Amino acid sequence: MSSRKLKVNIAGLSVLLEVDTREGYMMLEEWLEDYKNDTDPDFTLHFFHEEERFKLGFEGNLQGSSDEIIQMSVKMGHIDYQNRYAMGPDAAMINKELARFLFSNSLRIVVQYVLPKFGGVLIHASAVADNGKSYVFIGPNDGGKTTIAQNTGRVILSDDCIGLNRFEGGWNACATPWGNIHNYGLYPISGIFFISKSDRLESARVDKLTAVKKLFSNICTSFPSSQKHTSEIMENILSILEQVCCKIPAYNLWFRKDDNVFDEIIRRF
Amino acid sequence: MLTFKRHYHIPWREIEKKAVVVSVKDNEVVVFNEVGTEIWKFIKSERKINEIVNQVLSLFDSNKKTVKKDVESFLKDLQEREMLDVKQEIKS
Repeated sequence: MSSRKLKVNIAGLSVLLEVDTREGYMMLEEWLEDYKNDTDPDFTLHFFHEEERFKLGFEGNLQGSSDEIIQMSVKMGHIDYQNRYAMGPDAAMINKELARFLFSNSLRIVVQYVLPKFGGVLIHASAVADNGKSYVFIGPNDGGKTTIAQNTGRVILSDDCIGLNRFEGGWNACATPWGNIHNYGLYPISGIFFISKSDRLESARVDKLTAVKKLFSNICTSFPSSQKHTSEIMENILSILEQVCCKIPAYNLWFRKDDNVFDEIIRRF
Repeated sequence: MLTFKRHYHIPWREIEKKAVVVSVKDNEVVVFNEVGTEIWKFIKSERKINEIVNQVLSLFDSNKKTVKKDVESFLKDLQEREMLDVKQEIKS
């Protein structure tokens, strides 16, 4: 079986994606254009299409973790979408959407599972970059992550999901391909803001312990694994978040929908 | 007599003198107060309830009746969160 390969880097993880259809490759290439990277891959993810089923495979040298990955691959390996194929003239489009959905979700699950082993995490947050630094905004769904990022008028790294990872001794916010708006890049984090809509613009420093707790509740987790393996990942995540909160100041930020929050952040912090 | 021991696989860290413990079952972080933190550290190995109560009394100024009630409540919470190994002590 001939396959096409695409190397990408997401939040510091180098991934080799291997697909067996031209359409699948083109879809991935279009989606991940900005994330292409030629470094040696940390792991390989295979997407194969076989008898109306998508098959997912995984290869990687993760030092003692291969059993976890095998478990995960087995659980994720035969995702059956055959009953959801559309018939008729829209079939191709819907199939493409389904394939995109599958690629996107599979890649996200694997990255959020593997990234903590490499010292990073995926988190539900928006982040903007300005003047070589980044600012991270964390809030509930419909809590204003996108609004606040758009109001800044700065480069949006992502409006929904970012990677936190350590590069050159500092913690960085990294763009990810998940979310409606994303622009490839990674920047040292200046501050983390837990946002809430309000009738006023106000901020308050958050202590380290509260920040760890709040960050943890916004970590992207859907681990298809056993409790033992999940515990190991959680251990990594907790350690990472403690390190992040030791270095990066965190704040509660209350804001009004039309506030130019970013100028206020720059002024106050 | 029952013995209590924290699950070895529960991820936790001590941050600012408080135990920050991951409830894997609930997929959330729980922060214990000072007393809870001392109990959590003490039940690294199997402990009977009176040992836990005495440990708390040695560290904090309180009366035995209150401490016993609080310890029982705390252990029940840990058990519900699947953070605890509870065993019947086998007498030799």
